[in-house]
Amino acid sequence: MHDLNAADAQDLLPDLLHGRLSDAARADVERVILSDPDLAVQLALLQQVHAAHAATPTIDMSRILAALPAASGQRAGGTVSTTTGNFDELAARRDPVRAPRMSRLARAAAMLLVLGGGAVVATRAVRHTALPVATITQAESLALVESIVQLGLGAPTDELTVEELRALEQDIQALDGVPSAEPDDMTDLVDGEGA
Amino acid sequence: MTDLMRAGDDAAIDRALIARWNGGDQRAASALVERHAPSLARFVASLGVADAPEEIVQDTFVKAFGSLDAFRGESSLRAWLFTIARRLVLDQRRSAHRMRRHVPLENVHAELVAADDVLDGVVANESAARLRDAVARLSATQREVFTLRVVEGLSYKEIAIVADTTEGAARVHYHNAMRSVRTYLDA
Repeated sequence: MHDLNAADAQDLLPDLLHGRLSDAARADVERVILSDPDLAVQLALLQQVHAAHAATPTIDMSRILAALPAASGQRAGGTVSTTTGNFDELAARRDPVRAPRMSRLARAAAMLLVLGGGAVVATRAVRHTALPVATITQAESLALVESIVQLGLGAPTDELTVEELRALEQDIQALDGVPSAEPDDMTDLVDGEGA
Repeated sequence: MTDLMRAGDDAAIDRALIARWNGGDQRAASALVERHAPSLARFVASLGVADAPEEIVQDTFVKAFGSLDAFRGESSLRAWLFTIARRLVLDQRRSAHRMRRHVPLENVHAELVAADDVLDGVVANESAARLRDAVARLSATQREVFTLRVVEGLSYKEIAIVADTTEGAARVHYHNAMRSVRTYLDA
């Protein structure tokens, strides 16, 4: 595309700023900017405006995550696993919409696992069904976070090519969502509790 | 215009994460929250929610994840999340109005100044304050469109969805806002 005029380029300045243009489009816009000083001024202004508004209010990610409902497959009765290094926050979370409910026994089991050095757990008590409790160690939790970061999921993807993104999608699909080791079935304990 | 954009890359990652979450992988939720929570918080603050933008952000994700398995991807996840957040802010304002604690729209500028005070520790220099002031003086619609376009990088199509307007109107609001900001800064 080489017929970009100044008005078109002006419209695309925010996209240039955010790295949302293809390589070819970016080159076209930059070429127009070089020939139009006013566009360069506008781009500089946009950069300054962006920088002046870039500060993010403090938000507690773990609190948000703790309030989320369980993933779809888990609501259907599958294994639930969440990762968090702060059980206190999990216990103190607000009453979330459709969040998984932990039985008293499951809370106790989770606390024991945390006290024993495990990172967390997660559970969903379903009446008359098995209560799956998945645990991962802190090391496994850290490795998981690192793998997500390495996949680029927690970072800007502006520098990724389409091929890299396709590979990334394949990597995501290949991720193992189920822990390698499952604890013993706790069905009897739950039923015995009358959950 | 889509051939110009690589914004679809982000949408592809979101779709992959949603698929993982729908498949039962809770870890995908963490990635989605980390990808979108900061920009949502900035957007909510820009709408004048100075006291507790985190509450709105949290409620946005709770609502979104509550119906994420029904998300058909007709708009980007980002636009969908921003739309939910905007509605929650409007609901909050209506509720405040009913409780006679509503802040008149004419005072939104004052609200923004208060919100900016929170951020002053991070962006404290005079020129940045002047830039923020220039944006704060825009009309509510212009400010919303300009913020979504410049600060968050949304496309006109996404802005139209979030702000419940048309792409053409969003484009006009953006350019009018740009003109107003330049006029203020040149004065």
